[in-house]
Amino acid sequence: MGKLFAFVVFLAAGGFLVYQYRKPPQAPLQAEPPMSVQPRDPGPVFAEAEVDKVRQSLQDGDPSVRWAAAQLLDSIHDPQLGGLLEKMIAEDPDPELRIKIVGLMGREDLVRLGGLVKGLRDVDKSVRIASLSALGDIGDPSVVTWVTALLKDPEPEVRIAALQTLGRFQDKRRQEFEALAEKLKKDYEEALRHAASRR
Amino acid sequence: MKFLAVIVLAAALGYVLFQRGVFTPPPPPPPPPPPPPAILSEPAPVINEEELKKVLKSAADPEPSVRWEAVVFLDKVKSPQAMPLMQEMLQHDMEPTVKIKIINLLSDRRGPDVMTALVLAMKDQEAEVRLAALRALEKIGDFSVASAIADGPIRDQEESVRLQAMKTLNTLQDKKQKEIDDARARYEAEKAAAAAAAAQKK
Repeated sequence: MGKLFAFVVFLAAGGFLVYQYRKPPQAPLQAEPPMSVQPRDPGPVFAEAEVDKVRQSLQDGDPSVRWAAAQLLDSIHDPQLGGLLEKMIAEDPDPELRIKIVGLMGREDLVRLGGLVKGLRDVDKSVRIASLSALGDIGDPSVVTWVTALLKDPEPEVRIAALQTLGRFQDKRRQEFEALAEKLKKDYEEALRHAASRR
Repeated sequence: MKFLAVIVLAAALGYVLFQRGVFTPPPPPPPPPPPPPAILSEPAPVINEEELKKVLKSAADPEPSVRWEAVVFLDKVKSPQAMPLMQEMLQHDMEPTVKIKIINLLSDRRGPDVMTALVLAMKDQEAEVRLAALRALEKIGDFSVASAIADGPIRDQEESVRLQAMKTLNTLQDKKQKEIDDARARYEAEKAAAAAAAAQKK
């Protein structure tokens, strides 16, 4: 009787052990994520009607007023600014203002490449050179077709600027290439160290 | 009964050990990391063949600065046409300033085609070009052109060219002498080391 009892206890203990080993481990309790910080938008300084008036000032008779309006719209990040500046590069009667507008667009990102490409066809050579310079600053080689088209420009300065812009594209590509090669090399060395430490 | 208990105990023990992985072979070592990624030595040019042809046409532009910028760009993208173009321009370009700029660009290069181009430039009709070629050869320091200098520019009609030719020859001679001295010093050091090693063995 005692032996039977011991056998039952032994079986129960064995079963308990088997249950404990087979039970999936419980995931540790996760801490609650911290509360997200809500950005506090100060809200627009200008009402839409006022921004509209500033946009209309882009057609003012005085170039300095048009330039001030463009700068203001740029500083408040007007969503319509890209199209308005493109139009100014194509149509503004003042070459100096067109150059300034090209400079303003050159500071922005790739979405404004179209406007600068329009600047490459400007009647004023200074605007064409400024557009080339701005495109060189951006360094996106997707516009090379328009840049190489200027190799037939009647003005030697424009042809020189076009070749220099192509050179800047190549310089940028080389920099990116070297940075990538360096990163790949570091990643490989890191993988080698990791593999060595696991052995 | 005892026999049954022993069997059950052995089975339970065996199961526990199996779960703990005692009977399973150790995991194989991690595979070696993949080989390093293939890195091309040069980035691809930003322009295609068609656009490159347009730039090549610019190398024949009537404006010298445009021709020079075209050469700079072709050299930058490592175009295979760059070196033949520079050789051709050194021979036939009408503008000495372009030739001098090309010579200055080549003065940082090495190779037989560079030396051929510079030796030919020593025969240019413009003294400034001949001077630039001699300075470039001095900078490169390849002694193999010494005979070409001694045969031509040393008897140049321009005094400044003759002077530069002498200077270049002197520099080449100094470099050659330094190489000989270095080789001799290396030989003496090896000889002394061998003698010392032999003395230690004895």
